[in-house]
Amino acid sequence: MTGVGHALTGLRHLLKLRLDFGCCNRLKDVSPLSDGLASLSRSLRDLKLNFQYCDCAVVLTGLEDLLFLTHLSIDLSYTPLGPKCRGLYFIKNQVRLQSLEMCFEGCRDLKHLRWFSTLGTFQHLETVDLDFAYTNLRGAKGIKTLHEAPNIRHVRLNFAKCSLIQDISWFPETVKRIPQPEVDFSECRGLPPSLQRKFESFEDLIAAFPEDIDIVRSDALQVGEQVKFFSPKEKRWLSAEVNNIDEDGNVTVEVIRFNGLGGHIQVPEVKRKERIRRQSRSVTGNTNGD
Amino acid sequence: MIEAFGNIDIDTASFLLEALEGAAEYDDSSESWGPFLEPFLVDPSKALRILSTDLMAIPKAKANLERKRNDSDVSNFSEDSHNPRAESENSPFDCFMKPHVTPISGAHNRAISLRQLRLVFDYVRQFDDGSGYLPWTDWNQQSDTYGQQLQVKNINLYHVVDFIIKPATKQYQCSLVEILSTTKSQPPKWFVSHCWSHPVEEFLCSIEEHARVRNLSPDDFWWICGYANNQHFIDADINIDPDPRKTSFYRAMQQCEGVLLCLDSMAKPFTRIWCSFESAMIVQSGERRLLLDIAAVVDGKGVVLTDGLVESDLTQGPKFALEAKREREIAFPLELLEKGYHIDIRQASASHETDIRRILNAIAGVSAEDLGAKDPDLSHPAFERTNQKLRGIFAEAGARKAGEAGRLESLMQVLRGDMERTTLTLNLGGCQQLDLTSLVALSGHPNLSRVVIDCSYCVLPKMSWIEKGLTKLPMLNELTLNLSGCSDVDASALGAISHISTLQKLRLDLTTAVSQM
Repeated sequence: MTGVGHALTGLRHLLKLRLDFGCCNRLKDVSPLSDGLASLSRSLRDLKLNFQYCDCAVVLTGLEDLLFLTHLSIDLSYTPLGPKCRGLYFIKNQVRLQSLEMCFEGCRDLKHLRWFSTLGTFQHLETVDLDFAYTNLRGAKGIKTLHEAPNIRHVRLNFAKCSLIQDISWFPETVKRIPQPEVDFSECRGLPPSLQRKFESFEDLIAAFPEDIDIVRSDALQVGEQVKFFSPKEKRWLSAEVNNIDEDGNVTVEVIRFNGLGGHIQVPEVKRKERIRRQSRSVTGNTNGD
Repeated sequence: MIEAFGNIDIDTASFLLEALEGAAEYDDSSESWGPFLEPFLVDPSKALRILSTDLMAIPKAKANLERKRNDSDVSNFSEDSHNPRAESENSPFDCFMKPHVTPISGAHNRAISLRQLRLVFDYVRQFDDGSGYLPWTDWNQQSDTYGQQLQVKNINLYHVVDFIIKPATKQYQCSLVEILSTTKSQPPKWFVSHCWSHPVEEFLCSIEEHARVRNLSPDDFWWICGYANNQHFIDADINIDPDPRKTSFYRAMQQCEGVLLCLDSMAKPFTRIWCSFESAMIVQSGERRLLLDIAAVVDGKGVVLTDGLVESDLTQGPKFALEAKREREIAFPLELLEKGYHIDIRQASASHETDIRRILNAIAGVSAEDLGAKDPDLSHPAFERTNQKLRGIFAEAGARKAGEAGRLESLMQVLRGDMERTTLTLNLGGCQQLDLTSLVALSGHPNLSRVVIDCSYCVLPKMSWIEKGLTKLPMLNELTLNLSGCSDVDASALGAISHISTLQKLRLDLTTAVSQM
């Protein structure tokens, strides 16, 4: 490892680094890598590390000096994380991140997700792929603010076989504004059987949590605004226009339907607590021609 | 005329005259007389000398003529594809005997399927007289079997064009694929570069093996010039141009996953101008990298050197995938590929002198209107550049075989010679004992900016090549070293990478590497 760490020290122009140490069963200490990584602090933009199935505790220091990362991927699956796994706190400072991919599959020591608590403030973050399958996580507080990241588009969360998870009330709120969520709760024995599955789309989520997903708050809407209206009856998105918001915050939308003759007609439909969201490029694919 | 026959006895001379008369009856078109008359017209005494020295050829040719005379359809010899066995009702060979054309626009869309290719060769086999002989005499002067009666085992694409393709397509003046196809387009999956003198039987063997290795179906398509181009208007389909993008070869190649180079026992494609031209187009195929597979036939069995791993290898898992590749390529003769290290496009030959002139001029960038008129300037730097590139392609393709055989030195010299090369990919995975010290030959290479070396699952006794070779590449900005699965990697040698100050992208794969780290 000293050799690898040393290899990095002179590479002052290095933008992209990928190191695979997967299954290196004689790897005893990864700390010599820290100095090498620290020396790349000003140049490195894209870092991918793979320590899958390494026997040693991955304690990486020096990563906090990496301030310009836009793409980060770390695979720690089936490794002992060490008592505190301090090194991973560097993620909280990676404000330039556009994509984050981390795999903790099979990390039995994983107890919390505090490293990710600032993700919601990352202005450029677009893609998040976090794998916690086969871990002893009980909740996911650390990622609750994920949806607050303004440019977030695709999120994949894998909690499959996390049998200690019993409460996912946080979950609809966390992914509600993410256009392409993909969340897996398969075989989470602590959850009701109907939720032990993989959710592969936003519509899938709404169907599973109809009362919990208030897609756009009414105070954020304006009369006349074009929105998407998810019809639970038809189980699909329809184009709609907000035509009234009453004092209690109930929204009335008019669904724009295609009449089959080449024109559009408006059918007034009054609904309480309708599932609607704003028109945006990310959701226009759901209109199905209506 | 009789006098020209010299010492040949009068019977033989009469027979030859009769053969000539027969040829004259055979077809009104002087173009189609070619195979019969050309040797006599070009050099009668030479043709007769060959006949007279090959005593076996004369009686066989005589018997052939007599058989044809006894056959009531003799006068329609080629037009009606006279074989009685092939004339039964609903014969699979109807497409040759009673052809229907399905026009396909653009030669680049006229690839042939393995099933169709088998049909062509099955049709050839129909003419086998039972002892492996075919009823045709080889009048191709450049052929090794010139003057002899053709056999199933040595019939090649020159003969197939003359005796099968041209007669079958004569009525519609189209390509063979257009009478075999029932669809409006047969876009290719693979482009085949080969020499027409390659025996069809061996060639088919190579394609069969390629299909097996690459898991292609008999209905997948390979682009083979002889079947794709209209042999009646060949120039229109080929369209040699200084801009290779305008040729049917280039257009066909652009639709393909890769190129299959079929080598015969003499590796003749390396000496043929058309094959070189096709290979040169691999280099110029733009952004997309085409795969290059190389096929040979050893002891009657096809062997294919594939570009990277194939599906069947991957099913074995990462470690055994390389082992599977090694096993399946073990019979490939490296010495055949090494002939490609010496390829010289200026020395390459072709059936028609004009092709050489036009292709060389095209490579030298001569304008389209002067391609056939000007003699090529052989001192033009484009030729040496092309040579170096071509040699580099074949060296890169054979790296794993060379690494395994401990013959990397000459390969590195070839790669060193390719001064314009910017990317080097050495797939050496699975070599038992890999000595890469010869990589030092590349030190100082002025343009190499991207280097990918896959040494996965190798035994690497020395790693000084990193310091002595890689760190001496002044333009290197992207390096991938795959050392996964290597036993006893000297990780400290990796420290030398720190001297490559130009590096912007680095990938080190030490997955499952067993080392003291």
